[in-house]
Amino acid sequence: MRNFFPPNWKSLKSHFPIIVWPYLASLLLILLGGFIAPGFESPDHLLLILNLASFLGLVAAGQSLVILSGGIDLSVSSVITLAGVVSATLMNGSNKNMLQVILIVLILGMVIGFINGIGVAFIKIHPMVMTLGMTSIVQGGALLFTNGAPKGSAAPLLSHIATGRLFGIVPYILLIWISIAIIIILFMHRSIWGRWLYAIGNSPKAAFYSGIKVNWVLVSLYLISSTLAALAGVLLTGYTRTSYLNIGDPYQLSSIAAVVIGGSSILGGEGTYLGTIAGCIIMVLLQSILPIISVPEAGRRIISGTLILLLLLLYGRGRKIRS
Amino acid sequence: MSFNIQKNTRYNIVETISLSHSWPVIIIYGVLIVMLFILSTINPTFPSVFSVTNLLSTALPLIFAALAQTSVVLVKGIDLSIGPAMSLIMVIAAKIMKDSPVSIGLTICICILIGLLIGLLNGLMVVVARLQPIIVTLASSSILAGLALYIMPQPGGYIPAIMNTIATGALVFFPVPLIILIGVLLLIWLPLHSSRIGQSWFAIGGNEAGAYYSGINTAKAKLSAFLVAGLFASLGGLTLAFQTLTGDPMIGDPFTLNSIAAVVLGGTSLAGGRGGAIGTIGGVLVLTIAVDILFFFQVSAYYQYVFSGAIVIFALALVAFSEFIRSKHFKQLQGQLKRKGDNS
Repeated sequence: MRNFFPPNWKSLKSHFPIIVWPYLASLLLILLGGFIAPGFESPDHLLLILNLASFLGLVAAGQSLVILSGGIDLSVSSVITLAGVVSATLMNGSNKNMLQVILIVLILGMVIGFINGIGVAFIKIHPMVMTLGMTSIVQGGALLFTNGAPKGSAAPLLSHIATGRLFGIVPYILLIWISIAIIIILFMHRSIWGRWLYAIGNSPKAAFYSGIKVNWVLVSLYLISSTLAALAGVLLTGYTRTSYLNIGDPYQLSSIAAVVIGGSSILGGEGTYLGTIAGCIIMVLLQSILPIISVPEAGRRIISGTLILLLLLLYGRGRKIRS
Repeated sequence: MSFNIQKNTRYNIVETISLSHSWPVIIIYGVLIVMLFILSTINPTFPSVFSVTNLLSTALPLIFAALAQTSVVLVKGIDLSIGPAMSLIMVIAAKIMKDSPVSIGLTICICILIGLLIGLLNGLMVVVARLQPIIVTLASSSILAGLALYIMPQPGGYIPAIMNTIATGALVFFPVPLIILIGVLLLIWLPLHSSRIGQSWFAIGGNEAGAYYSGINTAKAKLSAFLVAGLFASLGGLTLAFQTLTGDPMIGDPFTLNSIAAVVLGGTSLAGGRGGAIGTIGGVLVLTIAVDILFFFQVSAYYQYVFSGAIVIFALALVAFSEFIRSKHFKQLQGQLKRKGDNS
């Protein structure tokens, strides 16, 4: 076991200089929000923000791993939608078969992720295209399953988990996010698998020649990504109590944006989930500050796009060719 | 020591084609011919001026979007802002265009200038600020979509009806979309492709550092690729406006990802440096005709999503497989050369 779990956090520490930035930025945004709307910085409201960030955080966890390996997963949005409509339809508002349905949906996510992984790793289809094609297929699958009109609603117990709070304070869903985040960070930085991940992200060829089973590691990443997206879809259904056919759409690009804002390189090999967490919080903060100052949808998009660019100008710039 | 490959290795016709760089393009046009054949058997009106015009005008906006994507993909970038850029151009055109010929001409010029400006800003962020293209265009797609929504919150606006007649009509026997397409290829793509800049796109896509060290102005070349993308996106937006005679701030959204699908179907490598406009146009036509055929078989619209995804994945798997065969052949070739080198 000691071989699988290296004994220190060295690989996490090396990322600290860059992930300071996203945390600083999120702090700044919170202060700004408090300045604009008093009460924005109150613990209760911040917990609400974290609650909302949890969904994005789960999706971005898988995305973070995939991007770290130099790939990209565009299919998360459709997997969320499929998971949402399937779980709402099958649960149909009763607690009876909740666990079975969740299991079915997670397995569905695993299968989709597995196919993605096989396509990317073994058939060598470019990840962007493979997951794009898969998006189309899964979207079609969701439409066929619901026949265009989603029915049903989430089990009451699931809604309770998704909206309830432990001791009336900490949202359960935040606890789920934290526990998954801890597991992922542990595996990224204190397991051989995590080292493989960084090695593949830096150079798949070098990783291959050092004896890493590159293809299977890649398959595992896409599998994790789709499974977490499916989990987020189920929880999102619980949160909104029903499901609709574009429930997942906003997560496709915002999960990528969260990962990149969190200091990961889109080219792979650089970044950590700890940064992505800050990225998710920033994304949710942006989405919740702007409505307060009653900026219309159009202005919201313009401002959040500009802010993403500005943040990246601060710490996301590439190296010169010469260096 | 001689490197005369021809003399010692004989390839049959299949191997020759599979070793050629245009192999994916040949595949896609083969598929296109088969699809045209199927379409002509199931659609009695198919090979007629009217139906060809119809087909091409359906395909034209995506062709422009995909050409825009092609130029960026060639320099190893990707442009996620094409769809929103098209929406923005479309709503601007629908907002300011009036009936007079002067106004029409002026509007077209303004729209093209705005397209170029979008390309310029994207390009500057990539070249000067050294951000990754995918992220820059992700952010700018949000900005452009916001601008389009700001200008026109609901679909509306006005485009003179004459533009529709022109854009989707036929001049005697020549469908106007075909004329536009050939015009764009001859007047924009071909000169670009054969110019120093166009050639440097391929060099950059192949190996940017290598291109830089061999004296290519990589900054200028990358910027020009984004400018061309902006130009084509504006043409696509204008085409959309002329075809629907309105402005719609959301209509462009699907074009971003569809353009990527068309580009890779047409044999342009997302890793950069390989591909071109001819293949891309083939890719768009295959996607469009596939939807047409499904429509004729009265397949449910929901299956169309499934099929179009499956087509893209299958085609890419085919290309990947051919790459595998190619690389095997190249290895053989290298082995032969090496052996010869050792002998002499």
